[in-house]
Amino acid sequence: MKYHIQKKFTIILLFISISVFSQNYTISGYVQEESNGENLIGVSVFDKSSNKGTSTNQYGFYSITLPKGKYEILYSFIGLKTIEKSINLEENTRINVSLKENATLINEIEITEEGLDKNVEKTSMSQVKLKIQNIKSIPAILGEVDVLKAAQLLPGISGGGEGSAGLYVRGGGPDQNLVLLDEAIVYNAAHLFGFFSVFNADAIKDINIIKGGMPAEYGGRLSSVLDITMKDGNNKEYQADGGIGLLSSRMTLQGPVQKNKSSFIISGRRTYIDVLSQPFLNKKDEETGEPNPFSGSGYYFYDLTTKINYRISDKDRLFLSGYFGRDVFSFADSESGFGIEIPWGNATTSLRWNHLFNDKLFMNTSAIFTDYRFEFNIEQSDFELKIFSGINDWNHKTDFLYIPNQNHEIKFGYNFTYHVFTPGNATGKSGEVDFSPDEIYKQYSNEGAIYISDDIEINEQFKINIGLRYSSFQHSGDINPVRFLKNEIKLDTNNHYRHIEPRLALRYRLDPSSSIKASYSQNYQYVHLASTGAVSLPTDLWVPSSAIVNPKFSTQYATGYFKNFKDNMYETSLELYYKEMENLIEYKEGILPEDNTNTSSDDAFAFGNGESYGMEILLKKNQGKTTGWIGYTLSKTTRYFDEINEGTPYPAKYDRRHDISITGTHKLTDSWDLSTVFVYATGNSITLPSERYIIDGNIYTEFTSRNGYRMIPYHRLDIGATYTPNKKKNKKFKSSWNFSIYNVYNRKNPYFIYLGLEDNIENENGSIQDGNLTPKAYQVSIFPILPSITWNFKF
Amino acid sequence: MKRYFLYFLTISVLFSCRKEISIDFPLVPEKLVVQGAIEPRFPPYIILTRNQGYFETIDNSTYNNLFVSDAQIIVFKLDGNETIDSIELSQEFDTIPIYTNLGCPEDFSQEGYRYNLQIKWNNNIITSTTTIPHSTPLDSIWIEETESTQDNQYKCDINARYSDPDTIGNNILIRSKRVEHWKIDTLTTPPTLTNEKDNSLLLVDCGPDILANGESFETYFPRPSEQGGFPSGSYRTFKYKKYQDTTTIGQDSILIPEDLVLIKFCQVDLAAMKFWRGVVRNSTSGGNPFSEPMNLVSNINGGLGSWTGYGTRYYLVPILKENVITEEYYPNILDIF
Repeated sequence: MKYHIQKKFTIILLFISISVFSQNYTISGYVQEESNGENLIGVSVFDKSSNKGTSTNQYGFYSITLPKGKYEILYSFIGLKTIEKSINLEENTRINVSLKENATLINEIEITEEGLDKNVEKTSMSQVKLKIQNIKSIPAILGEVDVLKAAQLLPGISGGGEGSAGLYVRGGGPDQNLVLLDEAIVYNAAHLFGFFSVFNADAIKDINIIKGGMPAEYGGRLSSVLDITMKDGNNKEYQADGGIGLLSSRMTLQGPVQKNKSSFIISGRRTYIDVLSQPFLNKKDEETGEPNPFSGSGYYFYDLTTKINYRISDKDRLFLSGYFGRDVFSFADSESGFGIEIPWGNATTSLRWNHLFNDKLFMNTSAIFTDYRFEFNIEQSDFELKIFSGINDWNHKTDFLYIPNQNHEIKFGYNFTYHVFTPGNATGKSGEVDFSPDEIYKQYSNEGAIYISDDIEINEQFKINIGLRYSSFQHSGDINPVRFLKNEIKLDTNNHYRHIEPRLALRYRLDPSSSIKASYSQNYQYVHLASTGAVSLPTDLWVPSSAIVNPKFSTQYATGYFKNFKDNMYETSLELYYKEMENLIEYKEGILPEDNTNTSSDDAFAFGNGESYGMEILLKKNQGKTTGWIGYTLSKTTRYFDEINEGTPYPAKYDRRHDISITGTHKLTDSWDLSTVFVYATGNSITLPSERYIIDGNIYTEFTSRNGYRMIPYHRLDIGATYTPNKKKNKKFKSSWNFSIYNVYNRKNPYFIYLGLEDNIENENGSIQDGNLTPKAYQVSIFPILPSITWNFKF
Repeated sequence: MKRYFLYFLTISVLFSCRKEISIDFPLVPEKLVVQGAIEPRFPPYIILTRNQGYFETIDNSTYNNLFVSDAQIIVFKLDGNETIDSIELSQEFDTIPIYTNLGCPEDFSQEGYRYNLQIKWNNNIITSTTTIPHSTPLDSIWIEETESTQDNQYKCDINARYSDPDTIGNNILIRSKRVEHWKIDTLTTPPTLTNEKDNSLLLVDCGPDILANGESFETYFPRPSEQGGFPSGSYRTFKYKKYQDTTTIGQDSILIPEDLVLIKFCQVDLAAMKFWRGVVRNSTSGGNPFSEPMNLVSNINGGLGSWTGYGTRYYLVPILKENVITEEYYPNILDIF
């Protein structure tokens, strides 16, 4: 069946290549924001009379090919003034455009599909662009603006639980999301054990979220793409932005290196939990005068984002961007001499070159380095133990965009990644004896892909996006056979996976403001996150596919109805999806990660399948003083593992039957903007013990039904207000105050449930032998009503 | 490891609150829980109990009713796949609910042999298998004063040097018990001493030899607690305790003897290691709500618990500073429970 489909795709692609070109000319160029020179992504560029057009790509480039003639070309971007250019098209023409800020639209919240009826017109579905200024206007926990938490408000995307920045998209796990920051993969996108994302909103320009129907240029993950583009930096003038919040402060500097030609941006953020907590930790005991034994304990995180770009010519641009973030948790008990330190974090570097071969062919080629590492250091007396894991990627990719005429938009390219996995190593020292292994255990892999896709406008009604991705994965380097002693399967370098991943999206336009769409996609994923926790922890391991661990595989079908009202003031959509997932991995029951320290983790895994289906409804109001959206998801996600839950199906831990989010902003006056968020979700499914027994006189519990208990529903209301004094005055220094209240009605949402045995008689130590214990269950909630204030400034 | 994440989360989330909730679970089917052992020189010994629903009440009567005394037990000795001997076990003591066979020949339990267990109970047959691995002795044991900032000079640790054979799979399990632990009763005149020894050999640690494979290294055995939890205690050497408010040592003081500790140092097979390592992990990090639920990995077919073969070495250790012990100890059957 698969080969049959592939054959059909090949025939269609051949059809594309023989399309006939008439006497057409091309208008192309870059669109940027006038105030700061930032390239604009997703600007609608279209002919006013025929309404035919395109939109700018990730680098602000557009290309539109039309027959010889006179045209009124509109450049439209929500929040900026639309520009109209009169063109007498007699030859290929280069037009670079700068769009000005539209003061009347500033601060309106929007999630936009790029322009007038763009969401209805384009073939892609299950995609949303979030604008950073909109994310900043949403109320946030402790005032910390968070792109991942904003994404959770969209239908089909849920978080891991109270306060979590995790993303679970259409029943997929957290490792099934391709998180890209300027094209570099970010393996762990969370600070503070999952409470906040690693992305500093001040340095981000654009966020593109793909929940399904993944275009062929993306791959390597089953469920979603979160493609984040960093700002390029103001190439007109120097600028400083900053903010002081309850949890962290941040500062961004940007400006021209060479005016209109080169610019830079550098943005940093750091928490001060450690600084604020030190007076308490350093406080001496009032009775004994002894210093606090935990005075060396603390936690902080920081991140630094930087980018520099250079316009070599009108056809060539260079971008160098980097991210470096670390979390550091330390715990010290001076009495016992016990101490631990846990540093972890990501580092990425991307060097990119944009080249315009001609008005129809655009290229971006990138060299990318990604590093994620985690360490766990323990020290007590003369005993030292260090556990560490990580992943390094050396990535090269080139993407081409070829627009031969207005009926085709062809993308093709390749992507190669050399992975170095350090899945779980430990070194130890006790006195003079060193337990370090002779060599650090590593695994090396090559992952590659080539792809081609075409967005074909067949006629006014039909548009089709057809794509093929060919991916491969192979190990390289020596493999230590000791790792496979248990089942005597050796991994060799000939273990080579190759797969074809077809992608298809269709649009049938019912009228100018409504359409029906459908998509089909197959995805393979060759790297896997092995997690023992119910929340994403830095201890989770990334492991490659092997002879034992097969690549994950998913097939997703989706269809939807899209309708806009009142000249795009209201956008609505209804999508249905069904997703099958194979070769999912979990740790076997009873396995501990340290079982495989300094060896392969492969024998520790159980393998199974998953299924998710659901309905997503989105209602948006894009214009006016009051804007926002309502999202509703009805879904079911199930897992099937032979070795888990005695082989019977069980709900995924992020299975949610109902998920509702309402987000809105209202422009009260020129100085005051109000915002609100309400969310309701079915409670998370968790596993609780059902029975107990006695070993060695102590009680042990037995868990029989995986995720068999559901916590109470989650809901909360947040409100926020932003005060911008003297907004209209043309002052160099501008500032604003953001006030927000998280969980206004103080809902005690469950964060986790734990069970315990307590004494029947107060103040007496109970024991099972004495027969005076009572089993009890407790629900812990962590975020009650939380007001916060943040001061933001710019000069 | 994740225990510390829990600490951190608990500390950092200043506003957290908890409330008691009620949870209804369906009734659970009755299962037999096996805690069985076989080691060289001794007959096999087994304690049988039943499981309970998690929210069933625990009082004296329910606790006593957990013990099973109406099972029929046979242990088969195998050389390769061939059964070469077998014995039946029964409850030999009135006060201890243990199945054993005091008439069992001494050479029934030997290193290098496999032992199958068969239990008939409630018309069910429960089976298991284990191996007694070859044991490796400790090089030496010695006593050192506990490193502490507090002035407790009578507190000591048991240290040991162990040379692990250069083959992976020598899983280690350690148990200990204070066979003598004297406490003073100052309510009597003159004061009297009572031996508040541990009731059984308590689990200290269990794990694979991956990190230590082929190494000779020093370690120490912290004192476990009968209530479970992280073994972190120390032992006590002898000391004089004043019982009257005078200053003359000898006339108004009493000598409290040092602890006398029985160390059981064992090798166990992989299945047993997984079970007992789970017991250790449960007692040290149990209750972490962020970890995936972890059942103890039982090797009992049709039941819960473990049937463990121990390749054992015993050491009797008086807690006297600088005392070095290299000689093994050969306990009697009542010592090993």
